[in-house]
Amino acid sequence: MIYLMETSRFIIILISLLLIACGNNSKHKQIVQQAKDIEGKKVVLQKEEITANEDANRNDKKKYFTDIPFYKELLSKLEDPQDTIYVCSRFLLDKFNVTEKQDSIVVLKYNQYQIKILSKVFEPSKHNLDLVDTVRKANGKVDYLKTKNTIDNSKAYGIDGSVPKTEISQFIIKINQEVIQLHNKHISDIYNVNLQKTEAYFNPQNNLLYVYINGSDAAGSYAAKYVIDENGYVTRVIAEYCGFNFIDGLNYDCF
Amino acid sequence: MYDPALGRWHVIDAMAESYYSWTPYKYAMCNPIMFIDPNGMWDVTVHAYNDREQYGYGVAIVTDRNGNEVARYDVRVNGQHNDRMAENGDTPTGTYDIPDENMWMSGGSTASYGSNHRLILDTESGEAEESGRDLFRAHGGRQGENDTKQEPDEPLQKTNGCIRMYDDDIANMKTLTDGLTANDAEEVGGQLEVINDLEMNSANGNSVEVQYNVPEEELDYWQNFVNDLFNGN
Repeated sequence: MIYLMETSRFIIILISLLLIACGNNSKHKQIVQQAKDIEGKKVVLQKEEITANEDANRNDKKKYFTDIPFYKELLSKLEDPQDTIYVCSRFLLDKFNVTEKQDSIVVLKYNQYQIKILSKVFEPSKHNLDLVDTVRKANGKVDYLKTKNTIDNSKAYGIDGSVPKTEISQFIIKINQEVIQLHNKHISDIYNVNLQKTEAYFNPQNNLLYVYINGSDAAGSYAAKYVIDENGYVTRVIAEYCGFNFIDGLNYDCF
Repeated sequence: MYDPALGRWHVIDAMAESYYSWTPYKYAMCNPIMFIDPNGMWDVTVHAYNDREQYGYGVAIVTDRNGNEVARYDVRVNGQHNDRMAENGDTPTGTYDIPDENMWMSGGSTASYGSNHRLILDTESGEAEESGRDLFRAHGGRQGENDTKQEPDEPLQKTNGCIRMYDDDIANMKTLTDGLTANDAEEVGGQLEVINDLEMNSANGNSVEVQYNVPEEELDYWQNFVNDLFNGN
């Protein structure tokens, strides 16, 4: 009897110990698991929330931008109508890091890609300026000036009947060791560039580079978006509309 | 054009039922209020509120070379952000020179500037000059129900730092100031000054109601006018 009691006590103690051990163990596991779950859940939740917000934003913006006149007008101003496929949201793109940024130079880098843009002082004597027409009253006095904003026979961005202060001197893309320089015709008509605001993005889906440039101020303001592939220039969009800043402005981050 | 439901102007609206017309101020031309006019030219003073994010509108008062008010217009002085010293920000305070001649310009985007002329403003002093910013104009465009709805509740849309006016107002301003110069060849474009002197009347959430305090000399003039009237002088 005593043996049985001792045995049963031993068994009870053993079971208790095992239960405690298992309990501790399972509790420990549970805590660890819970922590992981919480951590994992947080990450997942955050990802879900971010994704959901981005989708909502994208949908909102998509809906908004397909419904407004200047969006349609903007798309119509692409050099090639087929280039609408290059219009996308920066939410989907990887941003370049700024490695150097001054008034006259900006250098941006992302993996093997490097973008370098330099500006220089505009020298009127080296250009053919046709900025304004003078409209006169019947008595011969000046009534008003009518802007033409033409420099070297091309429409000039970043001015309003005024002589530009700066122009772009170089726009270079470096992929590994290969250097691509944008042709002058794609950069020679944008003036008073604000390099401090320049941003660049990479789209891993199609290996395209997107460079966003803002220029001038007030009545001369413009925003330009360059789309560049590994062979160089693909297309660009330039908007002179106020409220249509590609980068911040009214936070219209599409395109 | 102006939506009174927005409840924007209190004191100013009370005075400017037909604010876009200078007709209510014709009497001032006939009964000059002799303010001090420092440059003897027609000038514009834009009264604005310091926090343009809360209240981005202002009133532009045009005075002739004798300092008589000849017109006042609603304007918007909001840029794309609230840093008045940075490009494309709110219209900086300070003084802008209006060219003596060739102060009016046309051409460019009618969506941005409207179909009428725009007034050239060259920075001269204050924030305007210190900011190093450029190409300021007073112009129309982007307003009313036919606009692109950048800001659906706003009658005048933001600019990139310029002063936005109603299309009819800027046309009226050119006709009016051309008339001043036609009547007196020495009365040419003087200065435009932006002053943040509108005061908060009440706040409601993120927006405020403001009031424009009439200058003391103008109050004195009217006080004297009334006194003279009752005293039979």
